[in-house]
Amino acid sequence: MSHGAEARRALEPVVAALNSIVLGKDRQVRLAVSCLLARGHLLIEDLPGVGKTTLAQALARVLGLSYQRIQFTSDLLPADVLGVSVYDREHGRFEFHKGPVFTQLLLADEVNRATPKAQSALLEAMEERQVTVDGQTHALPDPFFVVATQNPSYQLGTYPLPESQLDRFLMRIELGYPAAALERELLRGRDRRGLLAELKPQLPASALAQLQQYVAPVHVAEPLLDYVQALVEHSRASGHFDAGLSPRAAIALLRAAQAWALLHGRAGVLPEDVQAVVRAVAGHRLQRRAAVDGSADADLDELLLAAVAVP
Amino acid sequence: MSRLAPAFVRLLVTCGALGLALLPHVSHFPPWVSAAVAGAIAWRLAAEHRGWALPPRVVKLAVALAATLAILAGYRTFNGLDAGTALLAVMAALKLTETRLPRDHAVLVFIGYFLCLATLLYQESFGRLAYTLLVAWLLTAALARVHRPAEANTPVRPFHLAARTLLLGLPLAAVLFLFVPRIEGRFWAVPARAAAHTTGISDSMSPGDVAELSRSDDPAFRVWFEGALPAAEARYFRMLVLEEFDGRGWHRQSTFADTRAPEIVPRGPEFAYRIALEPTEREWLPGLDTVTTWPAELAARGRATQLVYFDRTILERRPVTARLSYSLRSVPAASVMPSSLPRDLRYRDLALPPGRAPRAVAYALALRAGNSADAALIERVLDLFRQAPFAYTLEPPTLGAEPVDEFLFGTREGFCEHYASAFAVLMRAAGIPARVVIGYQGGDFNSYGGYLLVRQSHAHAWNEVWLEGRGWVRVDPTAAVAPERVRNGSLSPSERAQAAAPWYEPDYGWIRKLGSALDAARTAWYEGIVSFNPERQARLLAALGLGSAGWAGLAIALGAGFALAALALAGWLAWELRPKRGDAVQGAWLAACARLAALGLARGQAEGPVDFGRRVARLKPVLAPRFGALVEAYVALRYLPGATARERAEFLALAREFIRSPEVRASSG
Repeated sequence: MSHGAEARRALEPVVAALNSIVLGKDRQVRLAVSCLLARGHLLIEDLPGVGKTTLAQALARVLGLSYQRIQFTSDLLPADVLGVSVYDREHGRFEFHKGPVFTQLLLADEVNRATPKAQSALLEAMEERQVTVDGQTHALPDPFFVVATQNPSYQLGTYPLPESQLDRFLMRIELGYPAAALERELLRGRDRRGLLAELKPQLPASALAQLQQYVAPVHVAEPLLDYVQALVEHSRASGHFDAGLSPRAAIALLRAAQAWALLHGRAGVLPEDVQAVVRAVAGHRLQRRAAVDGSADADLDELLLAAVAVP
Repeated sequence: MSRLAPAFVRLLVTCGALGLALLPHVSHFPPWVSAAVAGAIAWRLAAEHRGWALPPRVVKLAVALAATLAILAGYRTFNGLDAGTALLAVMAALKLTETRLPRDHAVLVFIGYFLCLATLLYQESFGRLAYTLLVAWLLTAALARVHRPAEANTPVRPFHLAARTLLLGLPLAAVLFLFVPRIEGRFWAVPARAAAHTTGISDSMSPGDVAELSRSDDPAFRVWFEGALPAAEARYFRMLVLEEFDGRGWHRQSTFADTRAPEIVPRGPEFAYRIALEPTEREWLPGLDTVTTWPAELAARGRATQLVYFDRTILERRPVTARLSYSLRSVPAASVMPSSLPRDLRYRDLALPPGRAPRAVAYALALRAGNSADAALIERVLDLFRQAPFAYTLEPPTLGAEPVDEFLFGTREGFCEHYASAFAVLMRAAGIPARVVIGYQGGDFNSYGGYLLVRQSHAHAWNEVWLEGRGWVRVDPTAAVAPERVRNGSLSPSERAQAAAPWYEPDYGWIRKLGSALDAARTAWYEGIVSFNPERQARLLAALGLGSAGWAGLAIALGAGFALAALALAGWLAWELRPKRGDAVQGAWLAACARLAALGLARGQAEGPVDFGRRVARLKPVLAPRFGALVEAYVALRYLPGATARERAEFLALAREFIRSPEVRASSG
């Protein structure tokens, strides 16, 4: 069986289980799973109460990952995230007490409510996949997956993440309000937290690591590289954005597209796969230029995707 | 202050360039137009800086209507250069109030180009051209700035780009300049403006009234001699003959134009030369005394030169409002009408108003009694002028009712007009036919340009007397009083210093040299560029072997040349931008897409093959099976690993079949 087919067979139940909890958000669910496959971290940005936390918890349960949650507040300290060395009287030495970051799936809730100092402690751990305290390095578990949620930055009491740290997240997705019919179902149906508790892991413990191995070999044809490069070039030269996509962003775009293709059982990446992930991958990396050209309302799809021909 | 916002910088550069384009027009705008433009620029910059809202449409419309009516009220027309440029300026000011997008900037910049062009319609001088080029450069830089992303612009990059663009355009400009068919006259009817030029020469002369002579250093005309220059004492350029004396001043005989050819006997070497005359707003043309061959080229060009032979004045039918160039031949040592003076002329040139200048007349009659020979009598009068009480000055006292008597026996201070007037009166009273000639005497030789520059300050008046057997003889009484005036061709340095304002610097040699070089450059500009006329174009074409092409042939050749160049450029661009069809698979796919496009199912440029396949299936379900298979095969070949040669061949066959398939044919029918 090909990798694609194997991945699809393994992950379809995962996607189905997630969809049973988070209603009507198939696209976001698949993006989240792809993000996980590509070993990226996920940022969910939306208003409170649209199901950010529910999605993160469901992911942990369905994938059978160990799970920790940190509620970010303005008085959170780096030690509250990473852990702290405590003097052990009995043995006469310092003992490192691991913080909540030592888990497979970490939900960093409302990450933009904490001070930049606490934020950067988490974000550095995300990048390095290890924690160094008092000169001692402690490896984080594998897989290590951070789902951070943040409220839109125009809300009160937020410290917006700087662009360099936004870059640490492979994808940023928005959930949005559910459709009316689904919301009715939500109102009628059982409490989501109760459903969550009943959720069974859909994937054997070792399977996720195996599937992650399959992402990099997903075939990328020359015309597809042309396409990715054309997109990146357009983001730099079109003048719609303050700064274009970086090479790191281009790699992220390709990796995410590979994961998306794998999730859909393909052995190679199609232009459609790139298009499916480009908003999630590039949206938080591109700063729209102050609108001098009357394109204030045009969104990323219009400014980037529609402007670049599929080769 | 922190870095300025790019939008503000863009606006600043555009406004600056536009302002400079408007600057030469300010002198002929009504003050409110200049104020409106300045106000609009200031307001727009402030609005950008402070983030004020731009005015709503209703306000703009109302202001535009009011401004248009104001222009109409001021000029009574929109036609013509003055009203047109004023309207353009006001509309530029209004456009500024809604300028936000690159498109708006482009409109402003093009208004700026148009204003530059209008500047040159007013005046084609070298300085104007330099200024206009500078402004065009700034405008182009403004255009470059708005059409490039802000991060691609350093403060100087757009200026580099604009300079390079303009330089690249230079060869094209040269080709257009040389080969666009030229038509005599202005290239569109620019309505004549009010006469702005006034020169030192007019068709009457009243020495007693004028207390000051023109000291303008402005050029009057330039002369290119073939071969040697005539001696300094012989550089008399006649322009106009005054024969009618009314007791105070001298006037041109305008009642009849005598066109009988005068008898001219050359007695010396002939000089061939060309004169380039600055606009005078007058009809007459200067020529070196004595002109023997008339400017036939002017007549040939249809300018209808009218020649008044008996006083050898050369007249244009219309005033000279633009620079005029013509060739003449002259013999300084020539006898004019030596054998006889017709009776009507003799009568005219002896006439004095009865009872005027009684002391002068009495003095002349006394001289006549003592000298029977005309030549001796003339010498006596010149001797009188040479004696001490007579002085040459540029600031003589004004004279009363009998200026000739008062000058001869009272003040005894004056310049050429006083002496010429008094001399002519004395001669006529003594019975010698005499008249006053006005023109230019002298000139500065410009060694850089190889021409004689005659300035307004070289304007001069002298006399001609008719002597039996010798004909008309030139007598310059001023030369008797101030020989250096004639010898130096101009005032002596001390006189210059006296004539000039007190702050006038001593006459440094290098300043004069610099002035000469600048004048030579200016002249080269006029001679080489501005006066490139149809004849010279025809000569150039003949030299290139294109003489037979003619006006229409030239236009056709030029049009064809540009069409070919545009075609070549388009071909090159099409080749550069051609779709990169890597292989037969992509070619077959594009052919299938083109076939679908013909059915109204065009693939969007950003539409992936799978998405396109789904859309086709939705819109034309009949095509779904075949096209679905095609898409699947295409995607497998192009994007998925492990394609085999057999799959390629199958896909190509599939694509061919698809294009010819009955479903597709049916859809197009």
